[in-house]
Amino acid sequence: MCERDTHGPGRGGITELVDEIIVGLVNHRIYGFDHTRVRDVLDRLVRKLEILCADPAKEGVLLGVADGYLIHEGRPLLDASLAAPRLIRTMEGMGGSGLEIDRGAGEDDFRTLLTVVEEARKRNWSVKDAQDDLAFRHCSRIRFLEAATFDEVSGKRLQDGLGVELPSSIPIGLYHRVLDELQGLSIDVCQGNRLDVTPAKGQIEGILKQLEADAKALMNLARYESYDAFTFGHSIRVCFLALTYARHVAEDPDLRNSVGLAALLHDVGKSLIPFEILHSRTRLSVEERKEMEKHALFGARILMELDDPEPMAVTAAMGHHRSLDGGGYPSFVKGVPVTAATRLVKICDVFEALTAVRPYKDAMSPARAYRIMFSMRGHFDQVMLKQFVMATGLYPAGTTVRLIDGRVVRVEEQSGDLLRPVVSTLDDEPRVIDLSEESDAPTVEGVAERVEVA
Amino acid sequence: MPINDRQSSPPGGGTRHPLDPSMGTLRNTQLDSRRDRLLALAEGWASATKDLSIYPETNHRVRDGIARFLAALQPHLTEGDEVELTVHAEKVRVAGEEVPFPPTGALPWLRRKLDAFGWAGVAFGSAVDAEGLLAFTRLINARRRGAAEPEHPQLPGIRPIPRVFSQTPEGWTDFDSLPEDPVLVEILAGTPDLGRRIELLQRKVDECDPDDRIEVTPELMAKLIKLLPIEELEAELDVLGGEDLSLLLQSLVDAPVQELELHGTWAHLLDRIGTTFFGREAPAQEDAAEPLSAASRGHPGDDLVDEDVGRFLEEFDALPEGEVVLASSDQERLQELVGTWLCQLVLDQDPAVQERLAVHLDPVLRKPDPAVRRVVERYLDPDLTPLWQVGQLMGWLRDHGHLALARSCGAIRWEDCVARFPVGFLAFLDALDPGSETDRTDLAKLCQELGAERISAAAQFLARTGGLSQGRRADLVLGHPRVEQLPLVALLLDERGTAVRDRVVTALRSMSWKAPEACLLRLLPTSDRYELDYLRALCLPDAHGRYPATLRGYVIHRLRDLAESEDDPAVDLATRIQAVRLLGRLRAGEARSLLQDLARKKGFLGLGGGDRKQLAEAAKEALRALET
Repeated sequence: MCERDTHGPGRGGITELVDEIIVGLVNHRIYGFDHTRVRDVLDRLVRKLEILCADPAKEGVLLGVADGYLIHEGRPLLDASLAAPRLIRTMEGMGGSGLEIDRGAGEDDFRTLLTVVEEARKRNWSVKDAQDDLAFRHCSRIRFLEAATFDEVSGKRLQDGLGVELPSSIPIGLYHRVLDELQGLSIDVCQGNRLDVTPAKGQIEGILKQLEADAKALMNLARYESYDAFTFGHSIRVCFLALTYARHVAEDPDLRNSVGLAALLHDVGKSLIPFEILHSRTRLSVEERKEMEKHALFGARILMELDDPEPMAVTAAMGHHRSLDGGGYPSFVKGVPVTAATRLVKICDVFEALTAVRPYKDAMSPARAYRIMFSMRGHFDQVMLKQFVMATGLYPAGTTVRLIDGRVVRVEEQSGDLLRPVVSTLDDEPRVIDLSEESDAPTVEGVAERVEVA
Repeated sequence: MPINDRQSSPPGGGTRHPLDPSMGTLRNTQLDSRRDRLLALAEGWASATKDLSIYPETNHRVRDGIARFLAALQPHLTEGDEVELTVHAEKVRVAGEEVPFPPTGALPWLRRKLDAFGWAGVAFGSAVDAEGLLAFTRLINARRRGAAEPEHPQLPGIRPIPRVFSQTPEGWTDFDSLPEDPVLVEILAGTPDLGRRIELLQRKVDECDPDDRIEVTPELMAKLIKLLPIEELEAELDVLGGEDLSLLLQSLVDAPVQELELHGTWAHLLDRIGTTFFGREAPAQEDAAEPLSAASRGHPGDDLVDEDVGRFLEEFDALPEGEVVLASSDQERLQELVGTWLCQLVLDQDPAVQERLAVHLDPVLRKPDPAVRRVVERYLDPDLTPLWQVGQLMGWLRDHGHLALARSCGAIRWEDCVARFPVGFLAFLDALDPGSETDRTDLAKLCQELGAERISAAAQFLARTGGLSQGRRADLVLGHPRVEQLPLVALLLDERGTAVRDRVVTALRSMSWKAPEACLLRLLPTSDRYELDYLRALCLPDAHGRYPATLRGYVIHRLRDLAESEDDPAVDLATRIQAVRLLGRLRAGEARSLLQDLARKKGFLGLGGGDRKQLAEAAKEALRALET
């Protein structure tokens, strides 16, 4: 079982620390250490470490890494792991087993950590190389852990660290690759570099294959509503949702790929929205909201400047906040159509936003999210919304549900009957049952456990 | 109300560099006055500063923006030791000159940043360089409201100017020193002094939680209060007894919004205060707004929706059945794409974007199919598209060789413009080519049809929606002026005053005038000798082409001053003689009496005998002309 470390405003301290490391890694690549954004991150890192080490008995923080996951105190941190591909892959690439941060580490220590992680990634350093570099830079409060020393060092604090049960049903590698692509694109946008979305197109094909092979696993990720520091996770989940729908209604692989790419890149313009606005935890002022709304315009601009712009991606980036009744933003002249792809991205975007965790709110259940969307008349294509509900389900694939006969099962896929999806039993020899095929089959009573992975 | 003398910046304009030389003809013609250049300089600084809040320092936008600002600053630095650039509520002061700036763009943003330091602006010295400016910009971006006092920067050629308020001409007190320990509301309720009241209101706003604070400038509050009947306000203060200042502020906000529905700018400002200050929830509240998605911003009523599966199923069943084809038709996709490009074109002023759009749009517009034409027609229809966007699109279409398409879309027929004037008039002007005789004739026809009275009555509307002074429009009005369009010249003078006087005088001089009141036009040696009221009055004769007697009196006096001036080296004998002769064209007793004096060699004490004789002769001739 994974540790759920993200639930709205009260997120786990360790995940917040990891989040800041991730923000620091990305921002220092974009801006360099002198930039306000990076200095702010360093300041926050120190403060978050202080909070984590508020207990006088706590000497520091130990983060393990194994098979694509960050591990803390014997439990994998799913949300932090999803958001931290670069940190994880770099530490794994070094042959290391984790990272130890002592109480009292300061801004200089964290600055050094960010530098060394980036250097280690670029130069394929071993743990020893990275450790030597830390020492050379007079950073003694942060250490990379050798695989061999992991046991020794962490034995007492991470007793089951090596033997920790990792979730096998999550394609975290795929998620990391897509996330890495999005991060790379965002950095290129910020640095004014020419974009290349070809690798991102390749990732769409990977997602589609994964959907074909095990849709449930991917939808598991779609339900992991971790709030990530750059909203990349949102884009990835919108992409999953859009492709899930596209699989139901379109057979043309090119069309599916285009829809997937459009969904994945629909928020690329947010790369140019000031951080303070993008991640404001309070209601935005009118001016801030106007600034925020520019992301649609920026997105279309960014994608339009590609050598070979993908029209569907351009129009979805610009139009995913347009409403069918002419409302929304940016303000289009009435009469310009909103194509089906753009309408789909809008539906997925809103559904994901409602069902996801944000720093200031918990996730909504799909039922409540749908009901809110039903009430937003004029916003959505009603026929498409109905189909979207059918494709995504009242209980999306991967949800563990309780049937009215008391059995607890997991949803495998949708069946056409919202209350009788295809499910699998949770016993040692799981059986797949299409509840809709049996006239007297029990219906789903409700979610058995909202968050479960393994 | 300050006149926005530039075309209003479109919202969502992206990151513009007002000093960007690649902005092309439009931009260059806009920079034709000192005021525009000063405003562009200030905007350049603001844009460069804002860019750094978005992009890394290595980004070319940041570097280019700073380089452009420094280059534009250099000419001003040669004029003095320092150039002071301060940003106030609705105006920027550059090198001692005040210029209003539009509510959009980077300047309002920069002002907020400077406010966080208590700075009004910066004095730039000749030692300023890119690195220093970058460091200063970094500092500005680093500060947030409520943060600790920053270290005072010591950067060469950069001296922050503290925000010090002073008495404004209208008598509104801005505040440098606030009462030490007032019982705020009591004083508020007790003081009849509006200036003090505003001061206290502002202070209250300042005391709000920094994270929750909004932009309510003293000037804005002054205007708000000015809009309310004082007696009512006093009564309100008494009723409130000082218990709840927020209620008072709310009342200030509510009343004008309802009263000023037709006044877009005010409504916007008031709405902004209302929504940002009074509508803002505390950050800790669970339903604080959602910045990441419009949908999850917490729409009113969301809280009432639960996850009741039964009701969900009912609502789900009520949704219409049907088939959705994910692959939209070619026509629909093309229309959406062209609509997207056109939307980008009117909203994003970045020249690089405009040129990139040309690459996409040109081939589509060369031979537009009917579906594309329908989209273009809609964007050019002032009934469907905001006027400034129509103007923006018109300008782009003309500059990129698509004027024929615009014309065929029926967007710039002067006959249509008559019907909806003043709505659509500026867009109409933007579509005209100053070099086209046909277009100039269309403008003259339109003006003739409208008449001076109707044009004059539209002054406020036109000024508020962008004004006539934008470069291309001024070119049209002043390029080859015809008598029909003289009322527009008068509006231009109203908008820009002395800034446009030279061009107006040149334009008027090029016209053929029959009215004797116009005779000064050929006589005064420099344009600054013309009073604006004179020039304006010349453009507004009555329906019979007659001017008021006061104008004639003014001309007589000016001619007399000219003829008799004794120590003006710019006025030679020939000019004096001409002034005397022109007096003979003005049929008025005052002119006759003056000429009689001159004929008797009265006056001209500073002139030699020969000159006086010639002038007397000229006066006699003029008298004869007057008699005939």
